[in-house]
Amino acid sequence: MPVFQSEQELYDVLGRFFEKVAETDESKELIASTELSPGYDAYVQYIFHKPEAKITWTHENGRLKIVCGETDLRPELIFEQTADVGHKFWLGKLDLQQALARQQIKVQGPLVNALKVLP
Amino acid sequence: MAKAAVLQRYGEPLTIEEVEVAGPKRGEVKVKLKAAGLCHSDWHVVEGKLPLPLPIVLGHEGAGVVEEVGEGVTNVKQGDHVVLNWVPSCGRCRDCRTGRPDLCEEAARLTATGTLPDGTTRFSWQGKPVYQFLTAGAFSEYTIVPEQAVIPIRRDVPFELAALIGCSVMTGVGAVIHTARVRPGSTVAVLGAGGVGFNIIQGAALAGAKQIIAIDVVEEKLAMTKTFGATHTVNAREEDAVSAVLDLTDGLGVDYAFEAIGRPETMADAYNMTRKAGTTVIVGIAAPHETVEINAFSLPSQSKTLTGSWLGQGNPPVDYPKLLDLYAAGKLKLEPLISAVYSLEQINDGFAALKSGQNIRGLIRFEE
Ligand SMILES: [Zn+2]
Ligand SMILES: [Zn+2]
Repeated sequence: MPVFQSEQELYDVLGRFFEKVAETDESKELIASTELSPGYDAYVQYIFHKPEAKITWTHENGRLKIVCGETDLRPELIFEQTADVGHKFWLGKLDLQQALARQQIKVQGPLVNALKVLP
Repeated sequence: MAKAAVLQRYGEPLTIEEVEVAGPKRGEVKVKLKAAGLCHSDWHVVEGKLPLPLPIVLGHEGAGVVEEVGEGVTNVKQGDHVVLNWVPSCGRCRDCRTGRPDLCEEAARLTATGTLPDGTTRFSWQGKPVYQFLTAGAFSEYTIVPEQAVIPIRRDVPFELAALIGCSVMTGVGAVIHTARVRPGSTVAVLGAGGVGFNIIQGAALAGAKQIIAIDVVEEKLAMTKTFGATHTVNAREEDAVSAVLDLTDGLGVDYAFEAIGRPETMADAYNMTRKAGTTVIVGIAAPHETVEINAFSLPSQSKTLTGSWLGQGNPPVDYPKLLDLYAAGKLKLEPLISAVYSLEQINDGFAALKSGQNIRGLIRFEE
C-alpha cells in the first residue's frame, strides 16, 4: 500500500511539514546565504510519483515559500522520487548516497546545493 | 509435407499452412515434433522486435522423435526421443573452444539468418523458401535441423515436459547454477514470474538460497511461485519493487537479482536491488535497440557484477539429460509450468495468452 493515497494527502502531510521547515531559523539562514543562479527563481522542486505531485521551494519577502502543485517557477535543483521514497527520506530512514546509487532518488542540478536544502 | 504455423508479416497472426519439407542433407536430422512451448522470444519475432527474414516457422522449445537422419549423423538414430537445442554450437569457434558453447559464433549467425549452416532451409511454401527460427522451426509437424540441434533424451519423460527443458528450464536453472553460481544461504530476487522466472526460482531453491523474492504484477502467478520455492512475493503493481526488496533484506539488497522480463526499467531495478558486491543477471531479452540506464557512481562504488545469461550458459548435450534426471528424481517440477495446451491451429490463442501474461508456459501438442 502506498503511504499517500492522493496528491492532496501528500500536500497535506509533506507540504505542511515543509511549511514548518520554512519557519525554522535554518531555513531563514538558508535564504539569507543562498543566491539563486541567473535564470532560476526557485531553490528546489520535488517531483513525486505514485501519486503524481510536485512541491517547489521558492522565496518571498526574504522567507522560504512552499508551493504545492503545478507552477511556472524555474527550480535550480530537481529531486524526483516516488512518494513512498520521499516519505521515507524525510523520516530520515534513507541514506541519500545509497538512494542515488539505487536510483530511488534522481537529482537534476548541482548536487552540492542539494546538501544545503536537505536535513 | 507438414502442417506448420507460418509468420508471413510482422504484427499479423500466424497462418497454418502445408509446407514442403525436403529430406535431411548430410549432418542433418528430420524430427517429428510432439510438443513445442510458446516462448517470449517467438512473440518478439511476431512483434517485429527481432528482425528476421520472412516467411518464417517460429518455435524453438520442442521435443519429438527422430524420423530420419542424413549422411554422417552419429549422435542420434531413427526413433530416438530428442529435445531441440536452439544454440547448436559448432565446436570450432573461439567461444566453443574456450568452454562457452552458449556464445558460439556460428549459432549466433544462424539465429540472424534463420537458416541451417549452409544458408538455406528445408522448408518451402508456394515455391519459395521458408526460414526457421533459431535453427529449430518447432511450430511444424516436421522440421530439419543440424545434428548438434538434437539432444537425445531418456524415454520415460513425456514429450510435453521434455520440451520445456529446451528453453525455459535450461535458461532459468542455468542462469542460477552456471551464470550466478548461487551459493547456499544467499538471498535472491527474481523479476518476472513466467516460464523462465519460475525456473530461476526453482533453480535458486535447488542451490540452497535461504530467501527467494518473486516479483511480478499478476497475483495468481505470485501465489504459485511459493510452490516452486519462493519465500516472499512482491506485487510490483502495488509497491515499488526496489524499496520492497530493500525492506525484506535489512536495507542491504539481495546477493543475486535475476531479470526475466526483458524491459530496460526492470533491468535497472534488478541492478538497483542488488547488494553491494552482489550479482545481477539479465536473462530477459529486450529489443536490440533498447538501452538501460544505471547510476554511474554506483558502478565503482558498489562493485556489483552485472552480467547476462543466454540459454542459461548451458551446454545442452551435457545439461539436458542432467535436468531430466533431476526431474525424474523429483527435484525439478515440470508439470505445473504448463498452464495451457493448444493444438497447432490454436497457436494464435496461445500467443494472445502469452502477451497478456496469463500463462506460465503455453504448449502446442501435435496430433498423433
Ligand atoms: Zn525460448
Ligand atoms: Zn562455435
